[in-house]
Amino acid sequence: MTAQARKSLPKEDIPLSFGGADLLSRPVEEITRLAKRLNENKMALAAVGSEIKVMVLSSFLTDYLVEMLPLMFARRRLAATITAGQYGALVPALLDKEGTLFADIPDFLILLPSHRDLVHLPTPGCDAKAATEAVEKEMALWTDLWTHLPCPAVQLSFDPPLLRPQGDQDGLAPGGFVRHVRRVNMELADRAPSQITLVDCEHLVQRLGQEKWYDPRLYHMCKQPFSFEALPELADSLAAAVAGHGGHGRKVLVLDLDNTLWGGVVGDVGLEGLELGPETPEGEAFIAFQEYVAALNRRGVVLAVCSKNTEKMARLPFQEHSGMVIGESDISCFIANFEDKASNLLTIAKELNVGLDALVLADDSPVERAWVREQLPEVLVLNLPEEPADFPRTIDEAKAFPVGRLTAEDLGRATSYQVRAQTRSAMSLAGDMEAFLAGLEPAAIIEPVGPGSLDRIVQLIAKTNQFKLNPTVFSADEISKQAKHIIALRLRDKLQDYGIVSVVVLKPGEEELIIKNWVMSCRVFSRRLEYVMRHLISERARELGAQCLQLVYRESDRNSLLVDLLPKLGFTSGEGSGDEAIWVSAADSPDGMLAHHMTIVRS
Amino acid sequence: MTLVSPDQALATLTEVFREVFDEEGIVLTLETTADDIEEWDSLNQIKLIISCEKAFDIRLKPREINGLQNVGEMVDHLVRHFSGA
Repeated sequence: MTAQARKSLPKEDIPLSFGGADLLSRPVEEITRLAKRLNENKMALAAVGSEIKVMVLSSFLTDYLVEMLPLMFARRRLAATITAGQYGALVPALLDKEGTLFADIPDFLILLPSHRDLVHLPTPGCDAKAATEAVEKEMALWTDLWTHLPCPAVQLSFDPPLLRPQGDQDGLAPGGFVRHVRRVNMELADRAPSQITLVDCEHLVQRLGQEKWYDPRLYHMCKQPFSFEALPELADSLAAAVAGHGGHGRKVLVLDLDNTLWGGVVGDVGLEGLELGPETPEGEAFIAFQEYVAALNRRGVVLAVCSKNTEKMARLPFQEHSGMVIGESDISCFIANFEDKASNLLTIAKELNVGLDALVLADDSPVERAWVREQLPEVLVLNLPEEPADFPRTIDEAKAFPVGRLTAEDLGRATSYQVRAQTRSAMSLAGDMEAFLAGLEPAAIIEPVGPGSLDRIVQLIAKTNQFKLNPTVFSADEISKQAKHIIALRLRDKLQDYGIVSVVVLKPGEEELIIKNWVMSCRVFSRRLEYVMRHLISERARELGAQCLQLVYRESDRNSLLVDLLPKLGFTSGEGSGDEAIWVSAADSPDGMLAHHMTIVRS
Repeated sequence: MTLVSPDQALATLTEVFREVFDEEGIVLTLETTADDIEEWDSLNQIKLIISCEKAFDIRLKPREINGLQNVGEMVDHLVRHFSGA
């Protein structure tokens, strides 16, 4: 592969290559070389997107992994600066408050233990009770370590041991080591606080196969406990998890129809001619693909359709073909026309109120894919293979929709986006906006801050990009400590319950009430919920005897809508430097704010 | 086993080095040592060993490799290996 592979990879190819959807199918040497080039080209690295500082703490050698990580972050439009803690010093780094970690706290930690760190192994032949005690002893260390985290972290679960001196009993009997590792991994998952996102190492090993994952000689040479072949998948999974936790995952799957969701072109062959059903292997493959897409949709991935068809023809199979798994009502935004796909994707992003970098396109046509890639590099364009049976795997392997933990809001999100698209089209029709908003009978419900809402509050503050004053985030612990100074609002109307969609974190000052951060989900923009929140903040200010309100607004490439909005909420911009300014307002809401038509429900 | 000439071994090694260091300009001679290539550290040494193994489709013993003084000795090692000596 040597000479040829290099010829196919000119130096100027970097920006395109790290975006390539099939990067991971290339030989590891080639991926390493790309990573090396990116690391040496600081300009290219800085240009990929938002900066993120990540520190890797491990109990083994991570130099090769650290070399590859920025490339995998770059694929997710994150310009990552990776530092590594001292070799093998995972635990001390977290405990030493005077050490480098606490001197310069990164945005994210990546924690990489291995099964060699498990020290309370059950005795071979022991009973179930003794094995459980062994698991508990391991957990005591980790649950304690987690309390020392200064920032969110992605942690690799323990790798299953290759060797089985007890044979099958190692995996099956209470005293087995493999079983011990599996149990510890499950306990980690059950007990991890919201700051921790786990990456499933057992899955990674299974995917590659143990034979390829492990390279015992390499471990003895340099203390890297997996092969070079394992590096790309591992680095990519870690980067995906960080992106998911930080709210940089993609949100919308845009589907082409003909030969993507079903076999054949509906405009040519008609309903009866479509391949979609158990009659043929291809027809079955399209059903399997739809089932996979439906499963994504159930866990919160928003679906959109972008098809070159007349709308009537495009909707026909949804309405009348018995083989369809995905229903018309699962699609949040349905675009079928003969305009170019890049323009249509822009429309979809606008309708759903998301950035282009939230979109993933699945389209069987290489021409359309190339066009969209060229016009809209922010969109992730999948390379669907020829064979429809391999479509689901192509999406799965892209890890484009990473998720740390599912909240009730994730599970309801798809419906919420969908109703949003409906209300948008209704709005453009309804001449009378006030009547329309009032007609939805919206209610703003003040949610108690507690175990039931904590995860969602932390997640909403972390994941919101547009309506967000500044980058300050809070851990679950910090939120519960200042619960009485937090207002969390749920929005419900006669169409649906949106869940908790807006949070403010307040802090009483001497004469002023400080708004440490204020976020609102883009799903409820233009519902005027911010005016309700403004009233509630005034109310709180009066109770505390505060004369004025104060906040720090830091402009990012996403949150500039606040520049127009804050004055409407009574704030004026004061002193500041660079992108950051202090804004102040009288405690009372300004006169003449827009009516919000909401009933406020206090629980 | 196919025989490998010193010239063939040197040519393939050059390819391996160029790939690992991502540097087209590398020209190996029998006298080249780790001191001549700036990035040739212990971590890249491991990459070199693994890439060599792939390029020649052989298995090397790290102990033997680490004792070699320059590229010439590596070439000798490979030629000997393929001659079965």
